[in-house]
Amino acid sequence: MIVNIPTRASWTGEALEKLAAEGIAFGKMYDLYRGLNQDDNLSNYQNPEYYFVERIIDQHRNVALQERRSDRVYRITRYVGPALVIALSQDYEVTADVVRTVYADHAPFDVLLKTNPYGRISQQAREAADKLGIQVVEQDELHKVLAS
Amino acid sequence: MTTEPIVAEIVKTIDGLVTCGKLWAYLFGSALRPDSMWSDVDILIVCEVEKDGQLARDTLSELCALYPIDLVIMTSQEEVEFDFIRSENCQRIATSLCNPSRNISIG
Repeated sequence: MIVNIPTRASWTGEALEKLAAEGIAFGKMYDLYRGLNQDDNLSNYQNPEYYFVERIIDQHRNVALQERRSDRVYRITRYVGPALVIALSQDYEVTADVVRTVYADHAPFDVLLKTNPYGRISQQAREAADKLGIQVVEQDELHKVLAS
Repeated sequence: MTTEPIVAEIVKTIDGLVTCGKLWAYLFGSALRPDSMWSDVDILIVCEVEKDGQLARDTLSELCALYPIDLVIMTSQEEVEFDFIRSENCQRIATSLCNPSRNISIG
């Protein structure tokens, strides 16, 4: 397991593919502690945010393929409809500033997914997303986005 | 290390910031609880003008790279929507210098 990467650092899709092929997990110190409590084999560990998102995507019947562009961005190939690029936000309250900051860091993408089950998306965040030509959605809206 | 030197740097930075509208910085979370172990310093920035939030983020970026600071930035309207200050018991620590004639732009 590779840990203690600076908070603002980003993993590329290629790096993540390589880690997966080599059976190496990655994360923060929190992930290391969690992984040690869960399983003797740390290489099996997956951060719960990613696990949850990937499970929703994998189980959707309109999803043909999911690829990782980075640790925070997925590209979804669908059977019906164009491919979708989805960025993640773990923020508790998703504000217009969150939308603009994630966009600045990870654009281009089509959908900003709020992965934190708590908190809300503000009206101004939805308006900022509209102006940027993206959608900002809660977890329970993701199924609808993948289907449409 | 305590949070005081980090908070003092934030206060100094925000108190010296010139913004289009009013902007306030608040402390919340574990840094407000003297008996608890803190892992990061939670700072709420509330601004009347959305662009001022970006200005605050840019201005605080060096401090955020140096210290474990978790920034939450919202407009006054969003703060009312979330009722964040009351629900998180936020404590105001700094206020920007408001100059409505200031003209800033973000990409």
